[in-house]
Amino acid sequence: MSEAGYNYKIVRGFAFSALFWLVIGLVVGLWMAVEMFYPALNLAPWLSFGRLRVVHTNGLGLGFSLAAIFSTSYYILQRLNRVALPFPRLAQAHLYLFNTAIALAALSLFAGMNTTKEYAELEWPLDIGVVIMWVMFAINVFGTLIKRQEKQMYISLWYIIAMTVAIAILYIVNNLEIPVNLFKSYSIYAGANDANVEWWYGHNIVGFIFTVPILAMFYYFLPKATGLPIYSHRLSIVSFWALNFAYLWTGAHHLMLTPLPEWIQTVAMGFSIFLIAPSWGSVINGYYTLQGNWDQMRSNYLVKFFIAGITFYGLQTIQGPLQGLRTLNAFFHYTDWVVGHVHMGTMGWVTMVVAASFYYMIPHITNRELYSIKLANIQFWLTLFGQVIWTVAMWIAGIQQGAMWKATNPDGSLMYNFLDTVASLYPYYKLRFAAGLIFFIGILIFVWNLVMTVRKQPGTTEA
Amino acid sequence: MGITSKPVVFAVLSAAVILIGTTATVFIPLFMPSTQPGSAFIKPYTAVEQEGRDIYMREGCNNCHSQTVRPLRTEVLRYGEYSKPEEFAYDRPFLWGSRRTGPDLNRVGGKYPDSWHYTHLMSPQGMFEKSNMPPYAWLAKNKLDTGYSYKKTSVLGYGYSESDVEQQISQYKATVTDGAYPSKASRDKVTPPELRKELTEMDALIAYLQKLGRDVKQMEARK
Amino acid sequence: MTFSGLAYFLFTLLLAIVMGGITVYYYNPKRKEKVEEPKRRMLDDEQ
Repeated sequence: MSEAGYNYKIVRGFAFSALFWLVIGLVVGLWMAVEMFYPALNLAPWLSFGRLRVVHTNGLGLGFSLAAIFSTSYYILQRLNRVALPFPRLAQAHLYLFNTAIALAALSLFAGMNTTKEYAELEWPLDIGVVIMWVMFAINVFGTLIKRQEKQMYISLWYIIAMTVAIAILYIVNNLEIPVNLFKSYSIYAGANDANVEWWYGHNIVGFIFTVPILAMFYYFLPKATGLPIYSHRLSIVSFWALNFAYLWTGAHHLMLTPLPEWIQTVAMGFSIFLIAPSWGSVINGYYTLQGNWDQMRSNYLVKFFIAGITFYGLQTIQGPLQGLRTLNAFFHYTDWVVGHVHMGTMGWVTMVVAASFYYMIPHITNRELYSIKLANIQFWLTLFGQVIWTVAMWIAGIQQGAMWKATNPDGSLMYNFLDTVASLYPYYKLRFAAGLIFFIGILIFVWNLVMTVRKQPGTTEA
Repeated sequence: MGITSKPVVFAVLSAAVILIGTTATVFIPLFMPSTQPGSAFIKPYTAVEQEGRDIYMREGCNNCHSQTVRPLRTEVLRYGEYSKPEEFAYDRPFLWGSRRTGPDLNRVGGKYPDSWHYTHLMSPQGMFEKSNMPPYAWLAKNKLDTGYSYKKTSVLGYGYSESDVEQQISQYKATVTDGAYPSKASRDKVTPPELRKELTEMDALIAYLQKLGRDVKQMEARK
Repeated sequence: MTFSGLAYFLFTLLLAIVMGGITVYYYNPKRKEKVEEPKRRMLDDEQ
């Protein structure tokens, strides 16, 4: 318990859960990265690429990211509302249920219980567990908001509210399925409808896990870490509503040129382009906050993380809408370009902001100094280089394969068979693995730094 | 300052804002028959094909193989006629995929004989040295579990009776275990002796792959 | 102009007006102090 009776035990519990699932998810990712050029590593059914890929995406998307979100949300909610968690026991149960659910999710995916709907692969009993867990979280979210001691809600709280509401809707609608038995079910939607529901979900789950709550962290921890107020509160109001409104229309840009009705694709394309505006509202807000104080890039180690993070967010939110354009999509879709795009968001934006938030938050909740700022700086450069090499390698691989798929001989026949295009990518896959390894070493240093912060230096009597 | 000091109103408004785009682009199309039309030419999967489809899902084949040919010249050249909405009428869930680490499979049915698939699934690298596809030889060592086949087809609303399902299973078993089965040699090579008279998971997966894109050809021929 | 073209145009126009309205409301100089207040309040929550 802290000075104001805030519950930091739960914040810490989720933070270290996040770090645990981060390491697990990345180990799986590295294993798969090798399988891509060395298929002999598919040693057993549960280690085959098709099963590992979902363990990787769920382990990092649900395991790492959600835990980091819960951790920072419980912290931000108490601090901005100036009130302790109303239901600390419920939060503790939330932590246990979360880790149990993620562990069972990983085991079930290793075992091949996979509904195949991307980022919603869990079978129905686990879906119910996820929904219960979400309700437990939402009760504390609204509990603190209702009991708050502060009249107006600051930006981060809006984003936490939007996430809480949106994920509930997305998750339930997309996971409606009819069970055959405890381990198997079928989607209630068929064909093109199932595709449309799935990518409405798939796109927005990325939006409301990898964008909205990360923005909540960014808007809270950047001013806190620098002592500078955010540049414009009203700019963020307009951006917030525009983002929340427009995001939900854009899922079908994942289904360009498929049998989905063309008008849904076209509408998605239009809203995708519009989304650049509210996304860059946050980018501008981030950059201008540091106006006149850019010396903090040197003097304050955390600022680098935030600025690199928001820069990748800015690049991501331009690249994404452009990929959604029908003509560009025809070239880039189904290639590694998109894999590169996703990982710029997760390894660049999400990891950078979560790292900075944890570096700020963990010492604050434990009343200690960070174990080593030097190690944090080393981590910054390792994760930055690892990520940039990783994504650029995949962009080049994507352009190359896209071009090879389209290449024709003068007589109009195809120039390359499919296998030629795959074999041409192996150098990039090896480079990707090396880059992933650099990134992973950075993450291990990050985890080590935080573990040492909590373990060593017996500071105050805080527990 | 208005809604920023009213969390519950704020949450309700957020939900409403989120639901506008959702309703327009997802909920309304769900109730428009034109989104997912049917066709008399498109038949549901047999019980064995459905079991094969479930294995395809279990192994996450959709992570590397798409099932939608786009209406682009080089794509039609490579994979065959572009995908029509009708052919997905029985696909719960859809398996369109998002990344082509391997080729699209929407029109793979009938492209190769069963023997090709047995040999290829056993060892993709044995057939194509540079392939990065995982080997699936172990699928031939698993006897197909048909305990839920009827339940599955009835949940999916295929309209088969219990005896229909039994007949589909015994018929396909008879086909692949027959001495005159054209792909017998390849099947025997990958299937252990004790399972040669049974249906294996690989048999079902191949039955499913051979179904892909076949019914729609009759529909396209008619148009 | 086709019907669908007109529909797209009117819908876009409507959304632009709504967004313009929100922007004008929050960017009204009269409200500036109040709208911008939470960004300073959040900095002094250490007590």
